Amino acid sequence: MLSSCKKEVSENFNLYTGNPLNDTVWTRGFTSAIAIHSLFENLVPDLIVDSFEVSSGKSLRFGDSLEISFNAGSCVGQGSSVPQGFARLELIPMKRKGDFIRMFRPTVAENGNLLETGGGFFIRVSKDDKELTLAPNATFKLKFNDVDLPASNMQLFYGREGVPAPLKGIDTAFYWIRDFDTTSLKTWEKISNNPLVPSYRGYELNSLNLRWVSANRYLDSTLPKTKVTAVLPANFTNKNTVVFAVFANQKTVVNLKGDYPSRSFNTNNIPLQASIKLISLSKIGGDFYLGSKDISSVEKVTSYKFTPGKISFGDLIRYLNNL
Amino acid sequence: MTDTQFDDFFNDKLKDHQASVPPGLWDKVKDAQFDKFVGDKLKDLASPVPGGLWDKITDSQFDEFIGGKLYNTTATVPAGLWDKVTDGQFDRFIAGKLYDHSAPVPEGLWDKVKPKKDNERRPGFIIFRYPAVALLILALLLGGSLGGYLYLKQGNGTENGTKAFIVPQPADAKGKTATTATSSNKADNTAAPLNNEKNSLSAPDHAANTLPVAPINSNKVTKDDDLKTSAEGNSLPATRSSAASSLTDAFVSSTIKKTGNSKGENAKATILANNNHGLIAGNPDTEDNSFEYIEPYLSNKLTAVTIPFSLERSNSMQNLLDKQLSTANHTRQFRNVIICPADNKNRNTDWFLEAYASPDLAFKSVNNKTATQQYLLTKDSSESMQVSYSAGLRLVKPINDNILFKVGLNYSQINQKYVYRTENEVKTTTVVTVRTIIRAPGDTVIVHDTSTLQQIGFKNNTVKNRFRSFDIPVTVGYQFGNEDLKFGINAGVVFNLTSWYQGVILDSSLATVPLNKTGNGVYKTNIGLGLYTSFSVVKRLSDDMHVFVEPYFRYNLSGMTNAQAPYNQKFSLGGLALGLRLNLNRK
Repeated sequence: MLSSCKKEVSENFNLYTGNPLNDTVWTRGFTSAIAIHSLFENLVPDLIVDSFEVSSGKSLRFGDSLEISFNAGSCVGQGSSVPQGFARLELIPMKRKGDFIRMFRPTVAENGNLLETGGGFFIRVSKDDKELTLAPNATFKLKFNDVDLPASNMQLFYGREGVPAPLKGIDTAFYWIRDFDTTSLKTWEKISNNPLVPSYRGYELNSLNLRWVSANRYLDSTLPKTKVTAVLPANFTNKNTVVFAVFANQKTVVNLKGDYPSRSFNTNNIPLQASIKLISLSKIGGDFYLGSKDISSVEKVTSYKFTPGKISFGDLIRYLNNL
Repeated sequence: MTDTQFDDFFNDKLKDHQASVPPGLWDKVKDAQFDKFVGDKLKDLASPVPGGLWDKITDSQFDEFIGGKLYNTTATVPAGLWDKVTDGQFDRFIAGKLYDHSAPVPEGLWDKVKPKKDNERRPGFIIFRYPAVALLILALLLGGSLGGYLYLKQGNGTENGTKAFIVPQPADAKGKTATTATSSNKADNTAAPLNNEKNSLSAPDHAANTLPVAPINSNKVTKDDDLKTSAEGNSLPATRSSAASSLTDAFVSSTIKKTGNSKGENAKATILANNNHGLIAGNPDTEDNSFEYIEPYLSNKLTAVTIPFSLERSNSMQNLLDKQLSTANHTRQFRNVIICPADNKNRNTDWFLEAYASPDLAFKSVNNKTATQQYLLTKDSSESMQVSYSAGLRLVKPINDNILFKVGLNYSQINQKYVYRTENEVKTTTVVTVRTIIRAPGDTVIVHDTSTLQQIGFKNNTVKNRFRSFDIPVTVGYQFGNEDLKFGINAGVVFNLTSWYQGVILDSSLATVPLNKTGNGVYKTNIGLGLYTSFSVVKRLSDDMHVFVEPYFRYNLSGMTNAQAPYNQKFSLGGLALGLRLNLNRK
């Protein structure tokens, strides 16, 4: 009683109604209205933009690491007509694991099979703000380098988007699908004897489709797979948070989907003893949160708990770029 | 021949003459033979009243005579007499006797009752402001009247409608007497009828008087003498057959005699002064057997008189006549009757200590100086006055029964609630979540997770601002009422000793910043002078302790903010003091 008499300040805390931080309710459906979409609007890398004469075709080089070539009349517009004039070329390379996260393109194939990627691209050709497609049986050549040593058995994969593909945000229906031609991709290298000039190694492919193209291979682990569950504090729900499992020694990025009944994020097909890192990205209100959990060897544990922390957008980008 | 011719003829010739009493006469008298002889023969006898006898009766000679005769006599009270007394007849009789009676107030008495300096101090409004004085005056009037009545009853048996003026007379050539000039009613009829051989006063004692001394003493006879006198046809008042009425008259009469003045004539009569021992005849110390010492039959020294048996008695009577009723003696007798009230108003030695506590309500007033309107609005919406309190001790010195002087030490704390809102406050709460995780079909586990929950919102912060001060209240009060319950009004000033503050305040950017005791640049450390007024109700708990309730109001003359503050703020304080008053010096 004496201490209460000495109390000088009393506080009456009142919640902001409608503030995302106070929204701890999970959603059953991953609708376009949820807040997490806005996160990836922010995380999308900058486009590489160029143009070429569609009717004449052109090989576009972006340094020594990237070269894209369109044959004449390979791009057509609506009605399979070849537009005249220059078309706008937009490229988003995904060379690192962080790039796949920023684009929310986990390296997961159909049926949830995990992929190891050598890199991927988002390629869009448009004319007069109208997106062009490749003409039937037409291809474009893509030569790009891999930040790691190229694997010998990489295959061509295309991205399968949801229908319709969302203009912004997360395409939760997206997955990679292998080309019918399962032959391994041709690798290339450009070795520099000058220490000041880096050497480049990569893949060369001929794609039958624009938009999402990558060089992947199925994960060849023969180890049993397990389910990995991430448990986050109540503030982090499937409406404001995404969780990825990033393999430590290969470019494999797996999205842990939000599970409404258990209020947790989980994924299957994680090989045991794999060394992975669980990364959570959240955007609550105007704040970004980053959480990570290093798992040196995945075991059959129930769940992994970690608490995201607030992080600035710049730091978040840097973190992702360095994955 | 006039009534005095015979006396003048004999003058002192028989003064030293002795005549032998016939043998056996006294025995017969003692044996009541004479009484038996007379028996009831005179019971129904009617005889004319000699001239002047009624006057003598009126002059109370007869009363005194009867009084003396009936001293130590008991008689049954006639039936119905006490009823009459109960019915107020006696009171009316006395009232009628004292109607229009006035008695001189001894010199200096009024000064004692109402000292001059008291008048100088409090002019006007005597009755309203000093009801005790009014009561005192009334008591004096009543006391004076009663005292005068008692005095006159003791010293003079004035008749209805007569006035006695006691005037000391110079001694005559023989060094005797003091006579009093009194108005006489038929003075020429006073002496002779009752002067017989045995009870007549000697003329020489009153030679200087033109009128024969109304020898009151000559009317004083013993019981036997009384009967003898009556038997000898001295016209004892046959109509006064009632002993009770005679006794009453005897009580009323006193040894101071007077003569009436029904005819408007001035006459002289001697006055017998009462001695202090009830002696009326003779001096027992002189072993003069011819003097008869009569004990007072009442404790108030009313005496019965008797008739001297010898001429020497006339000397003693003259001695009594020589006695003067001095003014001092008169005053002394008044003092026995009048109880002069003590002048308490000038001799109040009480000291009181008051301890009190009070719930207060503070009233804030703010005047803008340089503050913005938004600032004042924010300030006004943030601040609200709370119940405050005061406590203190006071020394109370009654100047008199009504005026009180108070000084003390007062501590007051004005409480103010200051509410301000802080935005984007994150509240972190530790929570335990329970999750059911299905690892595989048929493999369900429950995960208990202790984590934190963050919530965002705003805080309504409530801070108690405290404005404290020590003050010295100096007040003067006027109280009235009775001993058990008194009411008072007080007014005075309050000197601030020091003030300090604690809490928060709104700065110029509308942010809430804390105040501290050492200095804040806004409030003064001394708020100066205040005015104080109150109304008190005091209830006595015991002789030494009172409880009081005192609603009061304090108005501070100056603001509490300094010159740099963007506004001027001051508080007025109203409260209800409850406390105890302890008498420190009750006698």
